[in-house]
Amino acid sequence: MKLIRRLMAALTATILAAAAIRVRGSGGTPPQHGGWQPVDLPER
Amino acid sequence: MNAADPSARASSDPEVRGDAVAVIGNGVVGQRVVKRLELKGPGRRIVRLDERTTDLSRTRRLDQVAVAVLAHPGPHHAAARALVSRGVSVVSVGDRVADVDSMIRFSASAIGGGATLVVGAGMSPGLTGVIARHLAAQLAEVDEIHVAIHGTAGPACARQHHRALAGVALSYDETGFVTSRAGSGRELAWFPEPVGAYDCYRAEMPVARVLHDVFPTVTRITARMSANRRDRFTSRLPMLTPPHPEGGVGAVRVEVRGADHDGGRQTVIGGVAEMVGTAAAATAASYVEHILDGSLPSGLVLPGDEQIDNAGLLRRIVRFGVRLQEFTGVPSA
Repeated sequence: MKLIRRLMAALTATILAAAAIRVRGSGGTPPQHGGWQPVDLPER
Repeated sequence: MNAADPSARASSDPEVRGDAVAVIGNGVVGQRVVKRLELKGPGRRIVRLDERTTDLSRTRRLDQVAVAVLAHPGPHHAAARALVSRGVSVVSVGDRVADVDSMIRFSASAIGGGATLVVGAGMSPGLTGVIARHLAAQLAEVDEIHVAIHGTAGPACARQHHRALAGVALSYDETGFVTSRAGSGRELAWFPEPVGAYDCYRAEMPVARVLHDVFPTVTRITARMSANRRDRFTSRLPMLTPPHPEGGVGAVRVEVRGADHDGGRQTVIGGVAEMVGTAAAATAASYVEHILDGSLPSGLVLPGDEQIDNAGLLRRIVRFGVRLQEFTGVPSA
């Protein structure tokens, strides 16, 4: 029972920490589109 | 043929020269240059020479030749000097720092008879400069140019890659040219697919030297090449394994940073993913065609030169089978 309580406490702490980083973090969202695209050069 | 042979004199008058092209060097790049020139000008006379067995300053086989492509393992400066002094335009794919520097320095005094000397007409220097100029045209002001290359063409190119990782790397910043130990300065570069991401390092390459001449106001120029742990660990030793006949798909990535017309910071990135020999040959062959149709001035021409028809040159390179790509989706700073 003691082990289960500890596991639950650790899991809750992890979730809270992840949520805090997710909400308060300032890293921004990485680009979700784009990449290398072929270029068509105009004819003159 | 001896020095006193009067028949050895070459015509230096560009009017009497045809559109014959000499290709010196029969490696991966030389063979592909020949293929592209034959494709573009069926019936055109192409003279293939070996610089080790031919006196380029005297041979009569160059009498009717307008342009010579130097695609043999470097150094190229002696051959270039011999050719331009007899009025033959030269397109060099050389990529050794001292060799390129030497060709640029002697060009002012040695070029005669309306000849053109193109220094750096391979993948790098060469295609990288052309792409840099193409990208710079999208900006109002350019501050930084960063070049990364991946891959090698034939065995001579692989040996040069090996030497470059053991030499002295050259970059340019506000204080002037800066030297660093080759193999340092790891940076992850994303090349066009299918090459993808590779760790790249400073190396002894003439890119900064050449690009500074054509972009004199740019305050930061760097060049890196991809290498793996074994390349860097063994760079100061002789090559432990014989170089491959030809490397796989290589790539170049050119990043140009600057400002747009509203003063906002912009970064534009272009590149190609192609067999290195194919990209180098397409670039060299495009310079040859540009010389033959009169699109290049006489004298020294460097890749990315503002004075030449860079867009036309890039179109030619693309028509010779190199697919230009641009990176989109860059988050703004």
